[in-house]
Amino acid sequence: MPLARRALLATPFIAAASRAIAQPAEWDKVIETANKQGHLNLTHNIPPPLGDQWVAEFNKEFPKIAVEATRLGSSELMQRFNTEYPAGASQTDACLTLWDDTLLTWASNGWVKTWKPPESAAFDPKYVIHDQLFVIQVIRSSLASSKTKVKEADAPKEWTDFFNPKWKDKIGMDPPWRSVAVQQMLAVWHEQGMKDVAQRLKENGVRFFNGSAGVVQALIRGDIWVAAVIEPPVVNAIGDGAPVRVFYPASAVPAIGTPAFVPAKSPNPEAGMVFLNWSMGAKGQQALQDVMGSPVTRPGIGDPKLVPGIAHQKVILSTELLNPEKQKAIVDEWRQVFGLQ
Amino acid sequence: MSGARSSAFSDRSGAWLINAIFIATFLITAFLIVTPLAALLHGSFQTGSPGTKTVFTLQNWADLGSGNIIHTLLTTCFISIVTAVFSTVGGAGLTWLVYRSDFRFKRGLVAAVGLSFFFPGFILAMAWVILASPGGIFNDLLDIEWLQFDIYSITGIIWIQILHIIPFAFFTLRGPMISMDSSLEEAGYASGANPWAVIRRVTLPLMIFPLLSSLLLCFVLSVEQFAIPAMVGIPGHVNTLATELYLLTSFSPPNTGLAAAVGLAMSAVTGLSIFLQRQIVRRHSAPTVTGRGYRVRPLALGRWRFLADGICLFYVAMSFIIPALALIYTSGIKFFVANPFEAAWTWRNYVQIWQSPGTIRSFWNTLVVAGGGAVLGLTLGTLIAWFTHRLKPRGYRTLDALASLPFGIPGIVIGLGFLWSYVYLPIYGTLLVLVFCYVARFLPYATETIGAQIVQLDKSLEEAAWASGANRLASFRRIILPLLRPALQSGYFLLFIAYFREIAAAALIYTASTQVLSISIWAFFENANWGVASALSIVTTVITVALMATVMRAPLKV
Repeated sequence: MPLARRALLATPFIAAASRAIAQPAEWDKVIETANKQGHLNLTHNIPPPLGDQWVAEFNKEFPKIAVEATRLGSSELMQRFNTEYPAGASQTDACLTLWDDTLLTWASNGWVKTWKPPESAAFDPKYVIHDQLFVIQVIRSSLASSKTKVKEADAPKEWTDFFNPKWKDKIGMDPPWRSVAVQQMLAVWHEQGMKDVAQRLKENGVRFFNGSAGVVQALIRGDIWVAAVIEPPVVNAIGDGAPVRVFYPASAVPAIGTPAFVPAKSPNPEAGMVFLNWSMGAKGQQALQDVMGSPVTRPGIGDPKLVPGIAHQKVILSTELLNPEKQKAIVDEWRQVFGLQ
Repeated sequence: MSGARSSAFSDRSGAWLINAIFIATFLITAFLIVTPLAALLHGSFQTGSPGTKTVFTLQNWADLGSGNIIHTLLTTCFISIVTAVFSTVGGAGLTWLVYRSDFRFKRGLVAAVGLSFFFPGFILAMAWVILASPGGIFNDLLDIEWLQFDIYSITGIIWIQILHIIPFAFFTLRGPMISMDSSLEEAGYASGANPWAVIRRVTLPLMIFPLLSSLLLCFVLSVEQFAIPAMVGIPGHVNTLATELYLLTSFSPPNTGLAAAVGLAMSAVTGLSIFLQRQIVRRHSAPTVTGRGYRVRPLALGRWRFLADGICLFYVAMSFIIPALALIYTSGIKFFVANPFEAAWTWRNYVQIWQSPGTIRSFWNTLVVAGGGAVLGLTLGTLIAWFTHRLKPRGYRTLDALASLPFGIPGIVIGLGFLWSYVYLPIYGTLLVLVFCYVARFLPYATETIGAQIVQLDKSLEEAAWASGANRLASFRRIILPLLRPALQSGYFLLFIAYFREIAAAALIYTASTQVLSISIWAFFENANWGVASALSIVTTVITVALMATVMRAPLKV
């Protein structure tokens, strides 16, 4: 199955299946239609109020398109779209979420529009998948610690440090059933030879919080001292001056892409296309990086302000490692160990 | 009177209309209640969620017997039993103080209990995380090594739930306590018994069935609690059936079949409790409650007065004042520090509320869903109560059973059923789905409140109207409705608050355009934006209390 999946990802773009929209005149018509539609239903996973701030930047450029945004966690978003789309109840015009192979299933089912945003020409081809899914940002996993509770010299800097018994009852994370990004982090740990991590972390008294943002809040309060977190919330906390620090382990930095797409059947497809194209443009990318703090994928944008860029890190993307079988195995194991099923 | 009856029945046009209203009421109620349950039952025998390729299976029901599920069931029952016992005792104590003693701050206490009743469970839980988590304010300020608070525990869940449910016990026991024949207690005092002996030998035996009834209702309320165990249980690895259901359905890959089976099993537990409660109420309420009014001579608390003051102040402080202060504090800082002098103070959390179009929309949605939906819920509940307590046409028992069923079904279960069944309907994605879901979920609140008042109305009043030539519909409009005014007002208040603070049922069915305030606060909390979540909690609390105070003072024309 992984081979088939890689083959699917590697399949060259079939021109006949694509409705390339590269000519400026054609694109102008799309913008004109989008302005007439005047409405965009955006479904995304950006934490509030960052999502609103980003959308506000879009509205500065396209004031005639009113954006109605639904913010859902990546897993909830998958669940919701999976139920609504086949029932014909989806109102989504543009969608932004963390990478999950379910997206490939949706794409092959014909649920995702095939087209070529003009701005996609500037991107590395690995971020443009079948001209359906467009990876616009990379979200990394990291090790965070409390500055008030842990001295810099003692702070964990490698993934294996997270299991150190000296942190017993002081460690926290977002559980893998909530987040594909956490599943990717666990897949990387597995690749590094770490075994039975769920059981070991349970014995080390790991605490679960609501999303990485919840983990960071617990870290700031001092409920936990050390945490494995997905980066946007921790970067924002650092920006606020909160007493937390972050390390990106040298051995590997698990990362997950944030793809955007337009559903094949959406009420306002042109509005969705205009938004997606804007999000791939220099202004949209810069605004996204500024509000989220994580690196975007368009070349030439530069590093984020508060954390290092990806140029000198050993970044492992989920598309290289994670697949549905691994995801299910990870979640099943963790649900069993922590008594959910 | 037989003449009056025959006169009423001979009004054929009125009878036809009443029959039509009954059938419509029956069908609407059946549709609202049965559809989501049928979807759940179907889902529990499928391998996947609706819309995906699934096959029939019995595995989900077999999985209910797994060690983890049994453990979760036992944990839920333990938490709920302890919560129910302490909540009932606490509620009964406060009721006794207000209605049987010369406690000095009766009005203030009733107002404070009312405010605590309004305070949604998830906001209370949020406040208690700020106060008593390992890094929270209490631990930081006290800094005592042997006295460490950890709200992320079974004890933490029970503590917050008790604070949250005591007002419910208070309001359910208030009626029986007021109506109780105090002459028996007076006789006890006259015969020289001390207050404790009167409480033990007279008050408690007279109140035993209302207490049992309240205990069972508190148990049900505790079993279906979602937000409190989700907020403080998940970090401490304490799973309850409600949080398990949420975790199994809301995140990828979902185990929807098992979730449906868990939901139905949960409904069975709560449904059985409601069945027992109704049996108790039906069989044993009459001897303790009479129609006569009694002038109760309040018991002098004497030197126990200060202890009573202290206990009440403690409860009000723990359930409302301190949590509210914690939220106000969190709403004004950038990130949490226990010491206010070290905090980075800001207005941005309040500013961000108004900068978020989704949050602004949720204010209006809440007004429509809670304000307008409560009218619909109250209308349906009034019709059901009128049919089941007064007219009793053929099928009224089924209607009664259907209407009381939701009390035994947890919100998150109803929400899941609505998601699965309404996603195929054109109204999906509109506020109507939320309204229908809330009307179904809280229907017993309306039927019980209105029904309790209808049974107390003397039938001779209607019969006099019939004798004067009015048909049943006219007598309902001109006699019953005006007399029901206080119950209608209370019912509206109850439904408004219930709709306003509901989160479990809405969590699975809201969309961008139908987001309500409780979901907005939950979303900010879920994304750990505690500052904005706290600010929004404060703003909505102030607005809603002001709004409800206005509604409750307004004269109601019926």
